[in-house]
Amino acid sequence: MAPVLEVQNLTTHYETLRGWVRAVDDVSFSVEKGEALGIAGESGSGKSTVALSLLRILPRGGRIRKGRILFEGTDLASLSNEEMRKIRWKGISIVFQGAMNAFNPVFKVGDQIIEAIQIHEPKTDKKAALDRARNLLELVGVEPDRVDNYPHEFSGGMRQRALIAMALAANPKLLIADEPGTALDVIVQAQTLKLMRELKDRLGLSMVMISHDLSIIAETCEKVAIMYAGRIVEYGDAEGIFKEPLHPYTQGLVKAFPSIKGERIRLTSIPGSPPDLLDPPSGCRFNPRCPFVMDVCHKVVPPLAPPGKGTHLVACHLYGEGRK
Amino acid sequence: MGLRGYILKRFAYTIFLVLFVIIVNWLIFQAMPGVQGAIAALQGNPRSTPKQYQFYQDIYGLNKPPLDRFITYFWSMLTFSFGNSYQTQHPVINDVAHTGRLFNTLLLVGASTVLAILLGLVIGVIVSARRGSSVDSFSVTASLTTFSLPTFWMGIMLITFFATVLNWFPQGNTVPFDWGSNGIPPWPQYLLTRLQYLTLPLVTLTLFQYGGYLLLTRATMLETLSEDYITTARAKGLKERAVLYKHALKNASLPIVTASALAFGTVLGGAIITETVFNWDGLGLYLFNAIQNKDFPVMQAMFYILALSVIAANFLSDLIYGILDPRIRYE
Amino acid sequence: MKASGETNLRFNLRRTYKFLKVLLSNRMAALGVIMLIIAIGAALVAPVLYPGNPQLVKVSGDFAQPGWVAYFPDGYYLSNNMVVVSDPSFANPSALQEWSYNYPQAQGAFLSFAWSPSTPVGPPSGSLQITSNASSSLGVTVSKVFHYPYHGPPSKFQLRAFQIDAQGASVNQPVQVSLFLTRGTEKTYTFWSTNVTNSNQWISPRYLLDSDADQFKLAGGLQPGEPLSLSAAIFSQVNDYTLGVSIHFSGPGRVNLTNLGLVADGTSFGLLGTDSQGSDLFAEVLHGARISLFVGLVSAFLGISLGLIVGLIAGYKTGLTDEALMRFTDMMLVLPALPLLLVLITVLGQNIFNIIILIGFLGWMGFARVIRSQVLSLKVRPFIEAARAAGAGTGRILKVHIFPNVVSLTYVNLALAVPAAILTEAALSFLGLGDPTLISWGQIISNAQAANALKDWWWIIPPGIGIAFVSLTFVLIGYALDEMFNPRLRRRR
Repeated sequence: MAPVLEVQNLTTHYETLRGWVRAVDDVSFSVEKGEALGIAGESGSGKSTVALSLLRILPRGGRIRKGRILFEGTDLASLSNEEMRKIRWKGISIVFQGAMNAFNPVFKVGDQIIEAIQIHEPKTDKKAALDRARNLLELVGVEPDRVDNYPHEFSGGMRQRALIAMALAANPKLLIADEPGTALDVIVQAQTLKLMRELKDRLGLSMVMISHDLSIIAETCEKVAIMYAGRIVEYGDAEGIFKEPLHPYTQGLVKAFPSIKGERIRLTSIPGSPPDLLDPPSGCRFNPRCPFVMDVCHKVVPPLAPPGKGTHLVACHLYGEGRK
Repeated sequence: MGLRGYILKRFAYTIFLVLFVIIVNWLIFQAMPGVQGAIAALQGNPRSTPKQYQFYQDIYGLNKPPLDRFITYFWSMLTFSFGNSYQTQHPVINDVAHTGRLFNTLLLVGASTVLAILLGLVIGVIVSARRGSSVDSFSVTASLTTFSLPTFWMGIMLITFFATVLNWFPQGNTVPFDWGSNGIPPWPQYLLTRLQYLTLPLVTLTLFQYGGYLLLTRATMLETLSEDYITTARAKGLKERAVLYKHALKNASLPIVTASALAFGTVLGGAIITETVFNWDGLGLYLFNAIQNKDFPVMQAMFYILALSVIAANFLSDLIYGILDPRIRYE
Repeated sequence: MKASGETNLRFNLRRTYKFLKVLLSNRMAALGVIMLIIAIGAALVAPVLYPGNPQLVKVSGDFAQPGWVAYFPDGYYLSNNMVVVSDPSFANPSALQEWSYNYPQAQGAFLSFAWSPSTPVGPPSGSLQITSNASSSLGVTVSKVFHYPYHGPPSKFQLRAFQIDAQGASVNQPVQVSLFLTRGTEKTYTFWSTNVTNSNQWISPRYLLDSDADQFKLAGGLQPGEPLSLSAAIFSQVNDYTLGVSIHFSGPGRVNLTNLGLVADGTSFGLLGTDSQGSDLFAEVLHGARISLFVGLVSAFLGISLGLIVGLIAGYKTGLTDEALMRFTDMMLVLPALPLLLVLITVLGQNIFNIIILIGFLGWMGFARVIRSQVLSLKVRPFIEAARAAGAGTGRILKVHIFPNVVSLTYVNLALAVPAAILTEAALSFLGLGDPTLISWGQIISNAQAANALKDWWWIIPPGIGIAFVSLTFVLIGYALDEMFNPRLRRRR
């Protein structure tokens, strides 16, 4: 069966006064039906830009310069604005961080959900849409009568749930979750994640989950893509990557989080900071921070390819020989 | 607290502001040199009645203790009995309300404000969506330029070009002179003629205001458009126009509501200048003539009325804000 | 200590330099700075080029158009100032050569012409002395031919107050004198003619020899109520004109005459023409830059300083002080500014310092609110709390930690307050409530309106452009600074 979403060589840059910021370079991945893909990386690694590129809602100056986004066989990158508008929310919808201002503060929560329904199903009358909004709130565990409330009358956790309810309003096939639950307290965050897992199983949703937090991804996703400075450095099934990270960056990242299994190991951070994407290092973008840097790393961009060992793909010259 | 509590609180504050204006108005005119002389002159004026003389004596005269005078004054302000104008010899309140002056000013200020806000909002929204484009730079530069032009000069230029050279519009005045003697024409002609007389002052006062609204709309729209909920609205598949005019504009309009109320005092200043240039028979011209002739009762009454209208505008904007922004009711 | 002072200075210089560099890289700001330099240049150059008050100096005809209009088709009928006689008071003996002398050939031997120091007013002027020894009557004409090159008449012309002193004149032997102007050879206008019968006494016309004076018009042959002006009647064409005086001796005698001259005021002058008083408008407009800049800068500075102080205190102090200051600010905000200004200036008197102070005092409220909200957000930042924990006092925190963080806002608002003040001053002057002793742009336009000369574009347009130019200067700089400093408007870099 064809994957729901297949991204090929996606390249998204931002135009600024000083030049092009290469936020996402040559990124490819795919999501099968009912599958969850996690995209992990530090802030500024381009993971959110990937999410915005999928929906083509990039901020000013952002542009998809190359690549294809095949959603159910259609290339979203080549659609007209009007055709793309119809894919949004009905085909692919997105859940933003609940702590953010993702709800418009001057409209009632219910009206914002109804709006999402009516955009894509104009024939639905207000009464039916309201009923559906109430059901959606109930589905995510919010009191249905809160449809008449304004966003600021919700707690952070409730707002996150309502955002999930709104994301489901047009029955999307693919749900993107951008840092869900982040900036909420741990308990609410755990509840949110639990809700998302339940919904995924219940509704058979495909999901792309974006987070800087490996443990969240490990809990939720079958497949993982690790991004660094706009590129995917390691990609494959979650268990394999977390058990045996191959890329030096992934290794650093895994060490920087408490072990998922609860083993007591020393947490370390990766020295250095992410590169300036206006003028990224040549070759492997991780080379200035990599403990195993070699000459070739400065010259050649390592391809994302199967290494000699393990089950997933990695973009690192360390595993170059095994490939041959 | 709810909307009602919020309104009550703002209303109480409004009363407080009115009291402040009454006191300021009192202090200014107590210090006004020449008031005493003017009262003395009134005594010698055969046209003034003893009652009239008594009225000013009670407010400005020095033969009573200040507190007594203040109480008389305070009561006259509350009851809008400002005495008679030195020039017209009519009660000031009649000159204001029953001669068409109030209507003329309301027409000019109201129409130009509505026009300026509409123009400023629409163009502001359009250019904020195309930041950095040539349309954007052009309208920003144009606004900054109209912003820098002196209003009276703009009015004179309009008169010179459209009235003197092209002869499309009259050079000034509110209505034709011969209406006084020949009577007022039937309504279609009446309306057209009035519109013809209104056009140039209206354009002047609209230009005076519109640049500010455009720049403010553009700035608040740019800020609003970078908010997360705008990204959400786009992601939902809303049409760009709905994103701009429904989601962004409602938020961006909040600071505009506040700013337009605060700017109302400035607009009244612009109205005084515009009415003077165009000889438009409104409150501004009335005040200007009063100042020229040191007509103290009119000056005092006009300052009070203009300040009251600014306070009223602020109260109105508080109400609109309360209705537009659900958050304010719960603070 | 000294070394640290030096590095401080160097640091500040470097910072200023960098700031200017960034500022000038913004197109709007660069334009604004260039305009500012021009405006300041005009203000500095004005008193050097035109010392004194140019409104008190008449330089040409009233309502004269700019000189360069003559180069356009519309300017065909314009004329310039013209001085016909270079030494009308005979200050130097060489003045005699300016004139030509006509008399019957045969009588030439009886006549002599000489320069004399005799004069009714004293040196440096002198007079022309004509002596006749002829026993019979003898006529002499002293005249000067000049070319009038303009297609239109002068705005007006004036003759010197001609003076003559006849020795030996008596009732029996009067000396006939007439002052005349001839156009070509066709038409002669006699402005004054008299029989001098008193000896040894300076005599002069009893009326003003001015083309606008009624009696002079009559003398020039214009009927009362004639719509044509005398100057238009006389200088009706490009032609040679003769100015002269004819003297008729009845017998031997001697006359001294002086103050023989004609000046025509043009209908065009200089760069920007003249106003209703014939004063140079270019000089007035140049002087106007001084007042606009002065009022704009000083009152903006005053208002911004007040706003800064109130805002800093209200933002930093909490409770009653803050509440009282903010309520006061709100109250001041509802007072309509221009009406209040009009009334207060009537109360306090129309002079420049009242205007500056009042504009300043009515212009601090908006900025005080901006500063207060900025301070409110600053003072909960960790670095302020750290400073307080380290024992810094209120004054030090305000000075060292808060003030530097609101400086950029201050620049922005200062730049934007200047045009507001300039426009307010212009409006006041236009409404007749400016300082009457100083020339400001608003006053120039107000004068034009008072003179009913709104159609005189050369009078109306330049001061308006002046106001707009100087306001736009600061608006551009302020707007550019706002884009640089205001994080909400800052562009992505």
